[in-house]
Amino acid sequence: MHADLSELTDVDLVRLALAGRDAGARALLSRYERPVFALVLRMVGDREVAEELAQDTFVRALNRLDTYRTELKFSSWLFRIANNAAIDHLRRRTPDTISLDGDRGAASLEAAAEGAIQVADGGPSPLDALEASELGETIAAAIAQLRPAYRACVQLRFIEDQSYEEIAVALDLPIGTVKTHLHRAKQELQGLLQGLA
Amino acid sequence: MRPDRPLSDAELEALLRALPREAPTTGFADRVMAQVRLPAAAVAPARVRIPWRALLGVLTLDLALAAALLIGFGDELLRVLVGSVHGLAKLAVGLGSFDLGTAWEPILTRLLSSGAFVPSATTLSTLLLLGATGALLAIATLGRLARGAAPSSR
Repeated sequence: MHADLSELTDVDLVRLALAGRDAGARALLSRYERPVFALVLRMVGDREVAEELAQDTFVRALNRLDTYRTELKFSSWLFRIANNAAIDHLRRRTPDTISLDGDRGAASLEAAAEGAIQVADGGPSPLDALEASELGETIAAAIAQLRPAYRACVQLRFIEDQSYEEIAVALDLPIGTVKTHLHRAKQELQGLLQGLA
Repeated sequence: MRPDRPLSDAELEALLRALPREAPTTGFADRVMAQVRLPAAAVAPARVRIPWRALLGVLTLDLALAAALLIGFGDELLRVLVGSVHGLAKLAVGLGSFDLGTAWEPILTRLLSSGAFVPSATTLSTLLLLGATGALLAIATLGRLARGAAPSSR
């Protein structure tokens, strides 16, 4: 049964779920729980909060599946709900839109600097070194310094492999803005991760 | 490698793509599903299938009851039936002069006087046995059906 469901498209699974079949909803969950959680985690930077928000995202989406329009990609629709949930949380948490991850970012930047020197001196290629958790944390910390909209763009583009169009739909932004965000995000990251080259 | 050289686009993208894929904790899906209520209108109502044994039991019981009623109160039933048909016919035709009852009366009298509706002890005990069997069959199977239809957690 699981093998059959894994071959179905998202729209087919949505139809199954709308017909009252739990299996359809579960298959959608299994397909998207990781990407949605990862996006929210990237936005809020706290695993516990991210899990709560991801849970809310799925509950909201699955309870309102009848409002999903099939001309949109299901993933984009879901990412939009997740992104809105994360943005709402960030707005509630602090009115300051510049340093949303202030404490976490400051601590991580020190670690980033140390990690950068170690990697540069040690000589392994960045991809090899990425296996070490310090480097992964360094990059994550650098991403956390970006504006929320940039973080979402980076996560969806480079980690979830979404197209510009899909990101535009998911974040409810014009495609031009998505491209600009990505360009600026990369510039900022290159500055923050300079020592890694 | 020069320490101060900024990452190229390709290097940066490679680093980003190699970031670990974060996943929620175990049981995430179950916790979500516990709060999800799929559209009720779309949920097909559960079909109640009545077992053939129950139908057979009810049918036997009905037949036995009908036969017993006919035997016990045959005369009165027949008269009521004929009277109803007569009344309905008069109503339908709307003519007072057309009296269907007079045509049926001799037949009815003959049937009653022939003793066709007087039950023998064998007939009565057979009917009683049939009725009891039917009732037991119906009660047993419908009871099992009711237990099976008890609400279960999804």
